[in-house]
Amino acid sequence: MAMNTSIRPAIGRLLSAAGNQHATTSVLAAVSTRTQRCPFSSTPSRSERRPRRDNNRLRGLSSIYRSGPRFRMNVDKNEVPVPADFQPKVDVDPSHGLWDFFYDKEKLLLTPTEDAEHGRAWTVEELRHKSWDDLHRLWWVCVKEQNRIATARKEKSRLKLRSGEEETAERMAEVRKTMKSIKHALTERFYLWEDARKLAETDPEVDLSNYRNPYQPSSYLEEDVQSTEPAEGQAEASETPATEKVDPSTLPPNATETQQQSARV
Amino acid sequence: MASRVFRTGTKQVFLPSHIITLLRPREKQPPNFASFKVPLTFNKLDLRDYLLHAYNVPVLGVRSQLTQRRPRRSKMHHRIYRPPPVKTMTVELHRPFAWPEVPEDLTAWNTPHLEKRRQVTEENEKLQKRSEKKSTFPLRDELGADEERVQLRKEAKRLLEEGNWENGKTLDPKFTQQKKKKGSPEGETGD
Repeated sequence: MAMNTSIRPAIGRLLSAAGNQHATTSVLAAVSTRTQRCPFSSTPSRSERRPRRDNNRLRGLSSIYRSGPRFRMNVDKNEVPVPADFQPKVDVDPSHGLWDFFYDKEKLLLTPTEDAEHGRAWTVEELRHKSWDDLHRLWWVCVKEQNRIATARKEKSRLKLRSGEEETAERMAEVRKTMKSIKHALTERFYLWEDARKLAETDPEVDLSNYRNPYQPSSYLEEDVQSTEPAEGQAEASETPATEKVDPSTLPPNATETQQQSARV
Repeated sequence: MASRVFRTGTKQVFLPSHIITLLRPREKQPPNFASFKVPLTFNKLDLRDYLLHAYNVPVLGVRSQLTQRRPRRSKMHHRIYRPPPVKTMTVELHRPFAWPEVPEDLTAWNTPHLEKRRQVTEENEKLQKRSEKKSTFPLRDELGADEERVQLRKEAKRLLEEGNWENGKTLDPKFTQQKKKKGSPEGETGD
C-alpha cells in the first residue's frame, strides 16, 4: 500500500508532462483498472493449498459425507455398478429355542378368534394338591406364555392392527391369575409349614436338630397304644408337613440345589 | 456344547415374573442377531442365563441399549414428566433365526368396518388439526365435494339428459296400482 501511494503522484506528473488530454485519460483508466485488479494475488504459489502437516493421505475424504475422491477418476460416477440388493434365505433350525416366542412356526400372529380360544386359569384349590415340581413347571409355562403375548402385542402395534386387543388382554389376565394362585398355594403351604414347625418345637417327641429322623416316639407309647392315640395323631400331623410337604424355596440353599438344578436363571 | 463357553450365574431364581419381548429385527440386521425388550433391572448376564435356561438358546454376546422416551404430560395432574427408558438388548446367536412372514391378508385383524372407522377418525383429526393451526374452518369450496353431493350431481345430470326417473327398485304393487273402487275392502286396506 505504501508503495502505491508513493508511486501515484509520480505517475500523475509523468502523464501531465505528456500533455495530450485524451491520451492521459485513456492511460489513467488503464492504470486505474490495473491497480484495482490487484488487491489479491493470482500467482499460483499463493493460491496453492496449505501443505498438510499430518501427512494424512485421506484427510478430508469421507464416505459418510460423500466427499468423493480427491482426484479425477477414469470411471464416470454414473457408471459405477450398484451392489445387488441380495438377501440370502435363512434356513432356521426347527428346534431353535426362539420359536417359543411364537405360537406357530408358520403363523406370526393369532387372529382375534384364535386368541379368544383359551381355557380358564388354574384355581388355588386345584393347585393345593400339586407338588412343588408341578407348580414350578406350571409357573414357567405361564412365564413363556406371557413372553409370547408380549411379543404378539408388540408386533400388532407395529403392524397397526386394531382389533384383538381385548382378547389378548383376557388371555394375559388368565395367565396372571394362574401365577397369582400358584403363589397363593405356595404361601399357604409355607404358613402351614411354619405352624407345624412351631408345634414341633414344643413337642418333646420331635427333635428338630435330628435332620434324618426328627420324630422319636417315647418308649411308653408302644406299651399302651390306646391311651395315647390322640397325642400320636397330633405328632404325625406336625411331622408330615415338615418332612414330605416341604417347600423347597424355604429350605437352606444347599438343600434346594439338590432338588432344582435346572431352574437357574 | 456352546453353553460350556461361559459360566452361568449361581444365584437361583425360582419364580421370576419378568416379561421379555422378542423384537422384530431391524432392516439389514443380520439373522444371527436377535433383540429383546427386557425389564430395566436386567443386565447382560441375566439375559444370557435366562435365554440359556428358559429357552435353551446359548448366546455369543449381549449388547444393551437404553432408549430415552419423549417427555409427556400426565393425564392425572397434567404435569410434564419423562417416562422411564426402555431397555433393549441385542444378542448374538449361535444359530440364525428368522421371523415368520407377515400375513398378506390382514382383514382378520383390520376388519373393513374398523378400517372405515379409522379412515373417518383420521380425516376428522386432520381437519381439527388444520383448524387449530389456522384458527379458521375451511370453506366449503376448500373442503371439496361431498360424496353424497357428487352422486346427486351425477344423478341430476343423468336425469337432465335422459329424463327418465328410475329408482332402480321394484315397488310394492299397492303403490303402483291404481286405487280400487270405494266399495271394495281391499282398496281401503291398501291405503
